[in-house]
Amino acid sequence: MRRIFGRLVLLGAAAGAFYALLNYLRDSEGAKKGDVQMVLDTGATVEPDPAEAQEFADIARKVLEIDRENR
Amino acid sequence: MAESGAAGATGAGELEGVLENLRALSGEVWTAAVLLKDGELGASTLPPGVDRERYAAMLAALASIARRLARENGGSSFSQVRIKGEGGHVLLVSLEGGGTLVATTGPEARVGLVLYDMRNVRKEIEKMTGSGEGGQG
Repeated sequence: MRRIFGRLVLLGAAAGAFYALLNYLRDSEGAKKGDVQMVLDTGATVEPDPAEAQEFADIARKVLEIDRENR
Repeated sequence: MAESGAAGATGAGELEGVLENLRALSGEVWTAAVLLKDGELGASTLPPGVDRERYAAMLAALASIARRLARENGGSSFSQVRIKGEGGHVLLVSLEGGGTLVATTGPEARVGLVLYDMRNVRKEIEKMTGSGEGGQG
């Protein structure tokens, strides 16, 4: 019984570590929801799809790099 | 590249003054710039030594993507764009006649407040670039 319990604990720990790693990789993948927000001249608020948001984020990163280097 | 002198009869000097005022007003602004309709930098608070042509090209790319997305979503242009990047924000406010006012801030900046200040100086910039009411745009 104790052995089974020990294995279950190990299995749980491994699953937890895997889930944490998955989340970490997902978070560091670039633009996240809400990172880019656009208001149109019609007043509507638009959130670009992930590919477009990534395009924005990539250029913005370069602009911010230049700014940081020159501050 | 020198900043374009095409910023209306007032010139880029006064435009730079307005941008410096914006920076003073909104202490969280790192850099402010006016991108003209043709993609040239009308004025900026960039320090000397920065490759302005490259900087302008990147801002023009952002404005171009924003306009395309606005059209795809039923608008004719964007009013403002907020981009949260690594280590800061890039903010775009559209000017009448196709120009764009751009500001960058740090990650902890109160972006709403900065956008409010940007919208407040927009009319003044539009008058100077000749794109506002009664202007050529």
